[in-house]
Amino acid sequence: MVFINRFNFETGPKPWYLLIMDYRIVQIQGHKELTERLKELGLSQGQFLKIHHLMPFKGPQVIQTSQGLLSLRQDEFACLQLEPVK
Amino acid sequence: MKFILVGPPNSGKSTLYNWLTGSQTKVVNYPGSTVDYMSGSLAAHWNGPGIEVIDSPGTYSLHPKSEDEEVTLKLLKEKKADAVILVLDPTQLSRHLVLALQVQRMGYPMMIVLTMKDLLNKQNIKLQLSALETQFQAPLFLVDGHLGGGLDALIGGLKKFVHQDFSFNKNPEPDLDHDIQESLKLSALVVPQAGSSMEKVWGPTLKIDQVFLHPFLGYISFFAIMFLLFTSVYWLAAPVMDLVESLFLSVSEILIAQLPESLWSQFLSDGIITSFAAVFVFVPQIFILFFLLSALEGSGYLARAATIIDRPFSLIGLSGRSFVPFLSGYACAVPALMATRNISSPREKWVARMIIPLLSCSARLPVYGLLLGFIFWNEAAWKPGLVLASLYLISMFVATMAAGLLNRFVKLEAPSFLLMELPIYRMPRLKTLFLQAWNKTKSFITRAGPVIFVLSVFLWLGMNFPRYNEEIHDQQTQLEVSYLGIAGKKLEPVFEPMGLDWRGGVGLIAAFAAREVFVSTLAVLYKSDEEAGDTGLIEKLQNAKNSEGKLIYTPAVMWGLIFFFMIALQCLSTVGVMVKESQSWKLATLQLVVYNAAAYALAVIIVQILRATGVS
Repeated sequence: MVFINRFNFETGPKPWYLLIMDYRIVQIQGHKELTERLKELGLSQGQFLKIHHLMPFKGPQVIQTSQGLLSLRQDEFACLQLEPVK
Repeated sequence: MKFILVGPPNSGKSTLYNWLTGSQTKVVNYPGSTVDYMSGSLAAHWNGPGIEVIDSPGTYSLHPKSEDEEVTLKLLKEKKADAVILVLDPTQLSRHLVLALQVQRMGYPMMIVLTMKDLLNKQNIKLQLSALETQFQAPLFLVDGHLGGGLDALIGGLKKFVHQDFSFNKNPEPDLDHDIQESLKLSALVVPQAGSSMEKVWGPTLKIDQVFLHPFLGYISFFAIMFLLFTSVYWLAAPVMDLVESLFLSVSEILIAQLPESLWSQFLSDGIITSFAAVFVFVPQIFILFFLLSALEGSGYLARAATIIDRPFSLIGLSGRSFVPFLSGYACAVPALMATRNISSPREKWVARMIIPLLSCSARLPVYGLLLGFIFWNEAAWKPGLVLASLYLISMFVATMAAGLLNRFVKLEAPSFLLMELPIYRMPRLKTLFLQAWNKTKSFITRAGPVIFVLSVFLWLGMNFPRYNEEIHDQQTQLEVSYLGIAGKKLEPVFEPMGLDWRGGVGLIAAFAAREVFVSTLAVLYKSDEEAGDTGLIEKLQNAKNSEGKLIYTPAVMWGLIFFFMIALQCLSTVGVMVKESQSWKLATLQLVVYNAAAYALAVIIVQILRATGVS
């Protein structure tokens, strides 16, 4: 299983297609409050998501889930263990 | 009957609140916190006497992560209402139902309002509402927050709602994972074709975001929008502020003309009316800033702006959410301090409030104008212009350094998040924007206004008392014999290392009313010809000599003053707002003392170094 995180993540704008999910959440790990907030915002194990935008200079990224868009910093994003589904 | 609106951020809760209450609303500060919430009775045209509505701060769950969310939980635990109106966005249902399930476990009688009816109709999205009704056993309403569709049915529901006793569970067992699974299942039943529905709803937003969240175009559009926002605040507010000032001036003049000449009439016209003016002169700026900010927030752009600017701000320990107050500080620290309420992390809020007074607000401009005019007397205009621009950059640098330094000393609490949802772009409702801006303005007038007023009156008393001789009509002589004049003379040894005599000292003390008062006080003390404006005053200052016959104001002294004004917290209005926003006299006093001491030390060092290096 290949996990992606901020260290091997390809940066830069990506083409974006509606509701074609790129990644599946394998696990959510990290600071308790942070993981709780991630879950409250609709991220849960097994859910699909897509990277929508990446801000330059290691800035936040915008991800799309089935419920809409979320903006999160790289260390927040790193709490999500993802596997590519394509 | 009292209802509390509970819902996640961006669910349309505040828009619904404004529809329900109109202007029948008051801002309530939750005791012991800096969080405000709204409370009001149903607007008269709904004809529902006795129905009250509370608008709680938005929360994603009953596991609070910020001060605002904590207040919502406390309001629910303290049973401040008889029933809950859950406000949910049907396009975000799997997320928003987590909160609904948690509130349900507290036992409250509930009504559920699904907003964004217009969006659902437009995209022809059908919801299976029976699943929700079965789960929550509560009346359900679909509402169009934009045009008010569905509100009649909701009002009917509120009127019919009968007070009922319920078994209240103050501390329901937290089970977030279970709630998430349940809400996912439930939302799949309510929105069976979530995928295609989402595609329809989010399509236009995603297209717009290709520009606003683009790694390059996003920054360009961000700076363009912020430039427009703050120049609008400045340019739109300026004429109205002038109007407010001239209105108070006219009232003051009428009073002087109508009343027999006495100390009381002078107190009424110059003391009371001018102090009222000191409060109300900020109203246009605050209203316009919050109107435009509400427009950006209501449109969905503000969350994108926070995303764009988060990285640079994170380097100084702030998040993208701190950007708006930071930038507002360049117009005026008063609305900027009020805008820090939108920052959720208490640490970030604290740091932002500490550094805002360091940003070069518009009140410093007349002072810089006078001082630079003196230094670059008869020189090309671009020189002072360039220095002025540099001063703004230096103030940004100083504030950034201060933020970095404060972050080292402030103990970290829970991690600071950016993590937030980006709402769908929507056209905000004009009436809601007016109401939101008005409520913020009202909160300024009622909370910070009295403090500013009292401090301004005290300053006037200091400038006009004691009155040894009732015949003194000359402003300069009166200032000289006033408590302020006496203080200036007593403090002359303190101002001397800055190169100032007692008159300069009085100018600095008087500038606590507002920085620009420094210029007018010097004009009075040096008997400058009003019609000659700054030029006349500069000429007077160029020739002003101390008791030893030496020139007082030299370029070295003026440079010292420039840096003094850059750092010093010389604005009682800012202090008043700081007291109210931080709910701490101690913190506001500490800020006042530290910044003024640092400004004084810096000014003395600059003057002494310049003198030592041969700059007179």
